[in-house]
Amino acid sequence: MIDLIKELCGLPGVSGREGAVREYILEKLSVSSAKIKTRVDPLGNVIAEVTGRSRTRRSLLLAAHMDEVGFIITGVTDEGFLRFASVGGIDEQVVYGRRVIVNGHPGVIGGKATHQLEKDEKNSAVPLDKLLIDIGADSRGEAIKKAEPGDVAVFESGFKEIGGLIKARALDNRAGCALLLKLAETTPEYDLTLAFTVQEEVGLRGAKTAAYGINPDIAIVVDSTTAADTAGVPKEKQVCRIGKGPVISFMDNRTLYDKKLFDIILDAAKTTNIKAQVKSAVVGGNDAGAIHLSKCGVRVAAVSLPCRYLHSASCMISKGDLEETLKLLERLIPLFAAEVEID
Amino acid sequence: MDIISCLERLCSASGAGGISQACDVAGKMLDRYCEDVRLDALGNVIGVIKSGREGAPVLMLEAHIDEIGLIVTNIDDDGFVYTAPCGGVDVRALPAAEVIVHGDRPYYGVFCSTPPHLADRDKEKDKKGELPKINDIGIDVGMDAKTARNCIKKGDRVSFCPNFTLLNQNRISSKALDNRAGVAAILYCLDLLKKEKVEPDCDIAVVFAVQEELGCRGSAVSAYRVNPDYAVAVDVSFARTPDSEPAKCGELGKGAMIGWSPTLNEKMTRRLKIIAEKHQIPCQHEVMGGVTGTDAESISDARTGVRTALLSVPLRYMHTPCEVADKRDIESAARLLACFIKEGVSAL
Repeated sequence: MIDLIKELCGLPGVSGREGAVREYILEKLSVSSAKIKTRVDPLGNVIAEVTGRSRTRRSLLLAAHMDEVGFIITGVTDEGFLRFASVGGIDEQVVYGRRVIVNGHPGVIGGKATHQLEKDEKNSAVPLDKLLIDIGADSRGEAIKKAEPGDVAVFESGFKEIGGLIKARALDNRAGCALLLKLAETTPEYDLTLAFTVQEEVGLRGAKTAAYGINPDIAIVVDSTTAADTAGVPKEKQVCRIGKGPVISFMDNRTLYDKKLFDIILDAAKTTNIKAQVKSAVVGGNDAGAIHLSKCGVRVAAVSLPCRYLHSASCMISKGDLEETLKLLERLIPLFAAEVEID
Repeated sequence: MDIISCLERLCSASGAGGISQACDVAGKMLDRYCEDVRLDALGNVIGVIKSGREGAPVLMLEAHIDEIGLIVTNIDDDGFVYTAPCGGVDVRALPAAEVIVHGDRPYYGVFCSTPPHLADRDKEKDKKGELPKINDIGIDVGMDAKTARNCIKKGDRVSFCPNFTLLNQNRISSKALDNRAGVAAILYCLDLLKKEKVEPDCDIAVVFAVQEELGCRGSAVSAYRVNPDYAVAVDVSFARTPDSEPAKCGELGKGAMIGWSPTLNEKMTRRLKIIAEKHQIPCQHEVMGGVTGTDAESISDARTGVRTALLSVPLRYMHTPCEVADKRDIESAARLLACFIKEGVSAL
């Protein structure tokens, strides 16, 4: 699974430009030993119907988004610098001084030297609309050979294993994609549908059309969520902690989760000794927000990976959490597909 | 000598606040041109090329070898590492920056940042994009407190991760280009002199000085030891970016910047200008009304005083992990220095 994540995080996939990730996922699904029927819908979602060993009582969907936050080039200056806007929520604090890749070309984001700033500027983040990408071009003509308005850029950041942790760009949510691919590597216990969605970071847009097309009874959204268990954040504001297992949500800014499913998940974790934690703040949102409002409504649950420094060049997750999340999902499939009563 | 590969080796070594890795790399490179290269008590790299002439004047070529970095001040109960800056670190570039913590071995770390999903919770604190103070930003080394305290101690140094990249065939981006660009310029100058079999009329003392970023300390003691008659300091200076004032900056790719300041020797400075014109070496002029803020001052007031000039390589995004320099400016500085030496210092 670590290799899967490494390869997935190496691919650029800014919202709306998920092509490389989609191709990779389709390729992986095509070599699975399970019987899988895949299709790509008009927005670019990958929908995979995986035949299990047994038929399911209720149609079950597992969804993970393929896209990542990044930048879109909005203009090229006469001096050859690129103007840009963020695609998805990127905090201006993590942008200055970072390296990016635009169409395969390296660039850097900076401004005048700290020595030349006024006192009140020295300790302030630079707003994104004041920043430019420097790709080493000296003129507009030279720059547009490498990048034009409408092209996208991602942070450049390598994959690293640090003890039990993984650091990479785009772990949100390639880690979720890797978990779903892992579930489809061999024939699962029950039939299930997987959705690898597009445009989550710009408003859960892919999940909306995917859910409409699939029309599931139950959906589990596998995403990455804010672990703010980091330096200087008081315990009560940490949301969740890495190393404590998958994060189960009761509510976020987009969804009030199905209480019954929530209880089943926590109970399943407890009885099988799988680590799990409850998300301790109502923040963020994920594809569940779009899925649960699809057609006549869908019962949803969220099983998320705790991820530090979300939406920055240096996201971090724990290998242990990945393992626990996979175990929990494997347990939930038979429960939701057939074994428990949920009505 | 290939400037790019030389710079890659220099920039990839760490030289934050007293780490000797960069000194070792630069010392080995200097070895090719000097007979005995030594480190002094503070860690300055010093090599001398003798002219063989009795009583020849001494010309000191100096570039600082250190880089901005941080030093560990504390490890909290969750294993996060806190630091104080060694030099003028640009705090705007710290959140999410990747670093090496030089503990009992090098450990990878990331400066903590708050994800945008939580930003609204700290709106009061967040107004006007105010960043936390450097000593309030923890470094995540992926360890619990016990492990972290075992592997990392107070006083250990922290440097930015090596990240050398070419933006095109001339533009280089890396941490520590301030001032490995200057070190590379001096090495390339020595290479030119050697290739052209120049016999200088002076002894040349090369100094790669430590602790410039902490207040030009290494250059002061090395200038005392070398006791030169003349000195040229090679450092970096500001290259214009679209948001900066053109009057206060040089241009990337337009050649080395000759420094003009009341603290610099006028005769040497004018000589550099004339030589650049004569040999058609692209250069720019950087005029400062007061001190230059470089090692040029600490060299010029060593012992009874040293006639000192300053050459600077223009650099964008100084004191961030993504500084940008242009290879042609380093070449220009090296050629200008080499021609200056070829013309001889006795005429001064």
